[in-house]
Amino acid sequence: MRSLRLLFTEEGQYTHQLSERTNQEWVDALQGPEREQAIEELRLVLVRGLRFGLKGILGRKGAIEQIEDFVQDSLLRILDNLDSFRGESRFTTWAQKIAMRVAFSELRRKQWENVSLDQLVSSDPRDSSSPVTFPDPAPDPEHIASGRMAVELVSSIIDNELTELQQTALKAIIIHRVPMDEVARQLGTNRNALYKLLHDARKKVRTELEKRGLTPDDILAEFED
Amino acid sequence: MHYERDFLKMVVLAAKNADRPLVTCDDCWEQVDQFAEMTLAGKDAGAALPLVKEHIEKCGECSAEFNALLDALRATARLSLFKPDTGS
Repeated sequence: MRSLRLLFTEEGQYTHQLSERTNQEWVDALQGPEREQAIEELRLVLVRGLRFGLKGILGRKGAIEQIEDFVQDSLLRILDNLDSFRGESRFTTWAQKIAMRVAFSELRRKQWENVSLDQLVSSDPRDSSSPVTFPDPAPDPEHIASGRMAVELVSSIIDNELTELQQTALKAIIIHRVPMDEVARQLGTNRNALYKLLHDARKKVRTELEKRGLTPDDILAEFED
Repeated sequence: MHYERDFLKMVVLAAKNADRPLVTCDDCWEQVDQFAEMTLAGKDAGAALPLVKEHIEKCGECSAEFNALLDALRATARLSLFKPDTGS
């Protein structure tokens, strides 16, 4: 037996009846004879969720058309990925997670679509055409006595030991605060692969410090005024 | 000329945590719905899913999406769309 609940707008007006469903009933409904009704109900849930979830970004009332676009894209993705729903959360939570990712990805893409990483990185306060060189093997840790030497050492590691992609990604994300989604898009990769690229970069920096008998804490201490 | 000190400091801080297990955004995303439900239920989500917690704390994008998801779930919680499975 299915119970019905009323959905009210923020103004308290009745709009639709929604069904309570178990996770399995949601999955079945979206693939069975009730499909159209289930999709419409899920759409209402996603619209409401995105309106509130994105309120801080889009404003309380605004951009309903934009939200509807996000929801349409989300519904397609949800329906295409029903098989991957493992029931570890409520179905509507899982669906809203997907909608949130769709919305944020699109918002970030639009915000940064006219910004070139190359231009950003080339404007950094550092002339990469004249890289700092640091003698190898590195000096005794006791010689890292000044913040200036620490700056030189880490700058040298970044310039000489990290790949160009790693350098670009680090600068874009840390200095310019470009979202990872957008960095990944412009570098022709995805956020997951970019995260691994950055993980490899930080491991490389640590290894290079260790080769010189230093720890990150040694350097961080030098950066403290 | 060298990089600015703040940038270098962030790089070294990241290097300091390089031996932590790698949890990618996708790894986090796989479980963030569970994490969000536990959070809203007042459970210790960080204890149950510590790697998700750690990733959210250090990844600005995942943190933003997680907080927006929490707001969305709060807004739709009143709809009572879910009924628990009664079968096995």
